[in-house]
Amino acid sequence: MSNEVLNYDSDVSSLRTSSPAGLKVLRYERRVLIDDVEALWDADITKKLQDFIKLEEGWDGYRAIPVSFTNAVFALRMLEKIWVPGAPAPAIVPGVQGDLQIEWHTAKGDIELHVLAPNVVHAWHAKVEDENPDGEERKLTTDFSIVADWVRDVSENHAGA
Amino acid sequence: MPALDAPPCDGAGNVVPHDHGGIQPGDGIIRRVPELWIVDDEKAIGGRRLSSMAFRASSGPNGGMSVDLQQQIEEAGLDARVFVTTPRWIGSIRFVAAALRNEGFQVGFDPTEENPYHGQVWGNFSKGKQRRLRDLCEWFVAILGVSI
Repeated sequence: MSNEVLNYDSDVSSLRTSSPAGLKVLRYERRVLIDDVEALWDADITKKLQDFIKLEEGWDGYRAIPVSFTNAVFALRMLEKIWVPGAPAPAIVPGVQGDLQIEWHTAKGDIELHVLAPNVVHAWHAKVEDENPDGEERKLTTDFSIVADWVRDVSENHAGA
Repeated sequence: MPALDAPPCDGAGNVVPHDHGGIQPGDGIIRRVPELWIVDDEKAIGGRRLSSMAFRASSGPNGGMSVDLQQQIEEAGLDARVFVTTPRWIGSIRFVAAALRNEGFQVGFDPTEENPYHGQVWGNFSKGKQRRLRDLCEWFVAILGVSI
């Protein structure tokens, strides 16, 4: 469990604390525990990661191993940091060597965060209207503020936003 | 057993990246894709498609993308669709060896105890190449309602 206080600079001042979103923000501003990631993203993220940690070897039909516990915990902490109110929950997919990938695919664009190890993240973002179909790639370690910007970008006009 | 020459190995006995001359240009190269690799995408037909994880090599110096060699499976008298869905049902996509080589990939043979028809694809799995791989393949055992 994480009990660190996170500095989050998103503008949440317009949210009413009596609203569900406002309550989430209040909880976020106090102390965010890993289990609260599900509440933030309104998705079954913790359960999914727990399932990935318990995958049996060869789950991909070849020689894949389960997602590592440290990568799963790191992914949760990263998701705390990049939460954007109203953004759709990401898809999470296991990799074959203990790694995992967190993905958003909306009408506006795509984001993929490949977690190879704690603080080793290959991030990719492509906008639908971009001329460069290969998008933008970054190697991230501890600062994920750019990902929050990307999430905000692909969330525009999203049905759930 | 597959009628392919043994692949080259390093000192530890691990198969090293190579392009196997016994794998013919027209041979089918099958890639199994578990349902865990399906993601929602508002842009995809049907709203669901395969994650880029399906087009990615494992890490490490000798790490490639695991595949099944269709020709070798069939020469052994087996049904390739049954083979790649047993014992675990799983979807699969199919490439042609020449198309992979034209993109600069090596297509090699890496038999294992569990799968004597196992191969690997080695090369540069950049975002651009992942997109090309997506374009080059077609469903072999389709997962209904899911786009490639």
